Amino acid sequence: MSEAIVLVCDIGHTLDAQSLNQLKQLSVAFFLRCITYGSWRQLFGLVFMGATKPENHLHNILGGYTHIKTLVVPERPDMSLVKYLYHCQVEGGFSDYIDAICVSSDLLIRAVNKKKLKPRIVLITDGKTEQLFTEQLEDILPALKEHSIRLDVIGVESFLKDSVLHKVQISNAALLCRLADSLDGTALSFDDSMEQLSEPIVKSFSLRTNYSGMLQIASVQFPVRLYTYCREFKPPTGKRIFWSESMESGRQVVCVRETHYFSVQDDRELEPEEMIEGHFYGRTMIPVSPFDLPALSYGAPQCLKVLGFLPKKDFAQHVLMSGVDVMIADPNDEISVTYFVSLTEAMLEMDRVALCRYVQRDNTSPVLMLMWPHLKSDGILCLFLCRLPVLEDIRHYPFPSLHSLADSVDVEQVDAVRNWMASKQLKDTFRSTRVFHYYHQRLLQCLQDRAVYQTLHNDENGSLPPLSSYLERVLDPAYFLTGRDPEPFKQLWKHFPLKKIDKTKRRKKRKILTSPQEISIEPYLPSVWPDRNESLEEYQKEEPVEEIVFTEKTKVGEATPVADFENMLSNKRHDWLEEAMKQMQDVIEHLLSQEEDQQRDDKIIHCLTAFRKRCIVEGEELRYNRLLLDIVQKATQGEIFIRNIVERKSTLFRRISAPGKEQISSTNSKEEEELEKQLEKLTSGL
Amino acid sequence: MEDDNRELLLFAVDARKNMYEESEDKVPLITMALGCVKEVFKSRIISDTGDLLGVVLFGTTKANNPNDLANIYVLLELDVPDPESILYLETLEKTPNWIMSQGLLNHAVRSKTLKVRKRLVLFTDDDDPIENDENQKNLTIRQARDLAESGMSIELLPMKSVASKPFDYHLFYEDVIGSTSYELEPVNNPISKFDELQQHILKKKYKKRVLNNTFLYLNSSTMEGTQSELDAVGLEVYALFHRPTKSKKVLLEARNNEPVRRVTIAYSEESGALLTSASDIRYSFPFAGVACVFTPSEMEQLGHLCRHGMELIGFENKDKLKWQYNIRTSYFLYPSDRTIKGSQLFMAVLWKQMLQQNQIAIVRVCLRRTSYPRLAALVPQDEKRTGSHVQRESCGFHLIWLPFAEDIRKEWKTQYPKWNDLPSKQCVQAAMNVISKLSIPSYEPSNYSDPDIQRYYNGLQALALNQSNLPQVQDTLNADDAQMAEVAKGELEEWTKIVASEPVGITKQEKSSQSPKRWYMKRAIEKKRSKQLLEEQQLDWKALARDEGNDGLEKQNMAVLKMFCTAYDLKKSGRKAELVERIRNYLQTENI
Repeated sequence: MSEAIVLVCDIGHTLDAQSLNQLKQLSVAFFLRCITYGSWRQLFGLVFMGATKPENHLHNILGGYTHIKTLVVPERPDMSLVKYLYHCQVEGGFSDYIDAICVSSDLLIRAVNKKKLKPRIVLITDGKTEQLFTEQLEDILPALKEHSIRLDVIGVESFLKDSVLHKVQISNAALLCRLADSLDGTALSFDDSMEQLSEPIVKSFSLRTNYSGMLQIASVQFPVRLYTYCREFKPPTGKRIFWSESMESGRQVVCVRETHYFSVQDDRELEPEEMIEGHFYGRTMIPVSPFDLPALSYGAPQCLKVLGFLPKKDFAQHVLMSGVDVMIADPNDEISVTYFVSLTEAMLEMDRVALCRYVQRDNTSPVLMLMWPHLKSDGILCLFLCRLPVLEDIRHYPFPSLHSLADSVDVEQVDAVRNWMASKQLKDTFRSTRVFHYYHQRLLQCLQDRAVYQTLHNDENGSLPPLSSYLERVLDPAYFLTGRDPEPFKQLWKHFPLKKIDKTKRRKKRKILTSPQEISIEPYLPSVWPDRNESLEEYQKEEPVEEIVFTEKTKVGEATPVADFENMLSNKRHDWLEEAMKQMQDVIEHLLSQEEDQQRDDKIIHCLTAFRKRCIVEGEELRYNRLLLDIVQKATQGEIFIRNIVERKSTLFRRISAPGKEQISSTNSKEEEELEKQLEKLTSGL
Repeated sequence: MEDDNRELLLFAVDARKNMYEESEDKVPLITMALGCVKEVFKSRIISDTGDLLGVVLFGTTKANNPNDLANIYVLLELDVPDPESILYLETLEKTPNWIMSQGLLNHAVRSKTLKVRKRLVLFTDDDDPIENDENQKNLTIRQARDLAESGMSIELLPMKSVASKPFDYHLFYEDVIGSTSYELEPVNNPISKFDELQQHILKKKYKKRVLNNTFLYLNSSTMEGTQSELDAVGLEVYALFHRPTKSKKVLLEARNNEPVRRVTIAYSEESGALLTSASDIRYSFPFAGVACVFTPSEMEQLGHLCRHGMELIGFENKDKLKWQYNIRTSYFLYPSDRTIKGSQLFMAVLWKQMLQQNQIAIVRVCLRRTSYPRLAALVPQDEKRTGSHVQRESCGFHLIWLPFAEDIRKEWKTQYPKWNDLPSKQCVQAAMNVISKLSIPSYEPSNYSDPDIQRYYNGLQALALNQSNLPQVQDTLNADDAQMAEVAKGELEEWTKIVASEPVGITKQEKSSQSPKRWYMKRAIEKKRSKQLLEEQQLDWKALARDEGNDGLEKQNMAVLKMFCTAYDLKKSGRKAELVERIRNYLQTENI
């Protein structure tokens, strides 16, 4: 339930500078928390006690409340209240708790006035002022209880922690603790309160029923209700505003986005009724008239029906496909509760789950749900529901087994992993549900900081604050660990060396005939070289100069024949298949005619491999076979030397089978036979 | 190799005599094969991947191919599938009147120069098509290897008729298929039923697409910027479960079915001035009456709270993972050596140890620059195979998203019923009997289909092919209530009887009278206010109602008419003519 709060701050004569500072910090933190997590209905008031001049309605009417100043009567809070808290000073008056509580409770009673609000007084004090009329306490307590006013006191335990205990502080502590106890409140020290206020809490959601209807099990049905149990929280998104105009006008100008539709034919703006929907079926676009649209969707009447029961062990969590809903019986239907409880207990006993058909609203599509029972630690018995995948949702991707790889390591390596895992055990208290949304918390922190900054300085250009202590703590993964021993980690990497593979930047192939060494890069360097020590290679990595300089490739050169060849074939603008093949053949023949050495052989093997592969892909098997025949003939005649190449890569000297082409011409088959013979001869000679 | 994200998928269907023999479903094998091919075509249209699909028949006497290769009949050229191709396949499926021959397995695939993944799916019932000719056999094997070298993977779907002998994979196809890819799985048991064939084709339906290549940072103590590069391993992220969406829709001009031009403008709400520069935008959040403004760069900075990728937090027992803490569909992770060498080995050992020790890893995940960091659990998954050795679950890790404190709702507890006694043992036993009777053997996702998606794509297909009748969709998510009731008739009756005789006794919750009260109050206030406003206008409504010819009532605007309706408890819905009619009838009968 929403609250009506009056914050009472003690600014009396006993307050020292340190306590004043603490009071300011605490009151601001408390106020910001109320604004951040409180309901929009809540009311907030501010009262100072220990003021020199009385300013409160009770004093005006009755007199006697001399040191109480009402700054803000309970109302919807806004940031202007922060100004009072930041700028409050010690006033030197007498702090009378009873008076302050009387004034505050009267303010609350007036403000609440039949509204559904819980009245609450929060009193922040150093507790050093001697109380004179404590006997009046007995008179006001019944009235406070009658109106269910809660009292929280902050600062009490600080009196007791003080090394030089004062008689006044002890009696004040006793008085305030008794009051807080009687009024269902708490009494905390400054430090404890500050710690509590720095911890985030969850803002409550409004309760909404997702489904209120029958749960059907064959012929039996009973009323149940479904509520959201676990759903992804969406942090708030900002409103887009026009900054320049907002600065000029002094208020926020919202940026509106609108979409307009125009006819392509006559560039006329179209009205909604002049358009129809077009849906893509593969690459084909199908116009769908508004009359056909209902036929494209499937709607069923609202229902929740059990399709069958299965053992729970048949399922794993990774198949669940959505957030989780919780089901409870209709609380006002006795039969329903009996059905529900007996069903849940039976499912728990048998360790069974149920498959369900779920249609949330009439005329919507049905979904397949898994329903499983749960008995919570607090005795709550419920059923959970979550979406299951169907045929269309499943992707079957096979992956190779990891077993052989995992078994290929030695005992030391396994031990290293085990030790490392043992050193990385999480604390028993770790629960993801106790960690708050990182981004949401950061956003709230920045909002609070900016709102305070804007209010105090009237300036909208502040910088983002450093991470809050809470975020720093939860973002440090070691915070949740039981230990912080770095040794197992070192041992782990000793046994499992990892090597980063440099990702080569994909760039276009060079498209000129000359070799890269002949290109001077100097003219393309920037006028001011950024770093003298930076190598040319590093510079080239960032700026692929070749892309700018080199022209399109039209010939297979000898410097990088394979690259040129592939480049020509992958050209999408021209069909250079014939040309590239011919040129590649020429290059191979030319290379073969050169003097035999290691470099030449490497190049020939490279070229032949690429050529062979391409011939297979392009269906040019005969071309390769002919080239092979030609080479082999020349080699047997002693014109060229291919002995080393055949030794190193004999698979290249096997003809490619060309299915069906044997029948095309008789000459081909003759060639084939000839090639076979020559190859046999060649390999036997070797 | 895979410059392009598309795939080239060619179905080679054996069209020799044996394939016309009937399967267990009393359907010719070739019809069964073509039916499956049609299903793949349909699914590719739905997923709209831009893949090229084609169908070739081999073993035909007629030849139809660009190279005039004997016994090869190209049914559908490699192309992006369209509705016409499905219609064509449907026609063939119904009339399988192929000219049969005793031709040899003799298929060739030309893939032009596209740098895409190439797959050949072979449907046949013949385990040894070249029985005696060793040379021919070697030649065919070499052809197949050449194809494999050029990047084509060959997958076999052996089929079995009622009469045929068992399929011996080792006679011929072992050499043809080889082991070019680790994804390849030999099908040892031949398929004799359509459902079975569909199951197999389903497993080969989707190309393995990596959703994300990411790192798992293992050393949590090092801070960003100072960490060594070698404290991370490489992982590939896959989506094994993905809810399909309806296809993209565009708006068309109704008179000519041409797509319309869409212009989106951003303008000032006050002056109407157009937004010219994106830097002129700020983001405003209201906070206790103050509008807090952030620049786009500040918004980006706000979201950057940890490094991108995954950061290991620690290990804990798997039992701590609760099903009810599920928020999204899970992902699947497989270690990869592509970016960091040694990742696979380390992750394989870690995976095994986690399985043995029943542990899960808790990680912080931020897969994309624009996404917020979340917590997740890495759950090791062991390999599972079906009876026919088809991989059902792969080795790897499931990434299960964990909820934050804000994601858990507790408000429902206020509605929790309070009962006095627990149900009796007999009552629970009766419920257990019902559960036992209504048990089903297993959950197989492929048995259930989303009727909405089916209806949508069937409807689109019918529209595309100008079919007058939309095909009916079978709602597989429904059960036969009468049959279920019949199966557990006695048990259900007994349970109902016990529940009625032994209720648990509840403490009734008081219904909140707030909302109806508020509604009546609101209505009363509105009524009073409307009457006041009507009085201020000083209109003679009787006269207006009589003045039918001069359109007295018709001249009043809707707001005034509605106000009258509110003031005199009339229905406010409907068009203006209806409102006028209603008011006129009221004025004629009532005295105001």
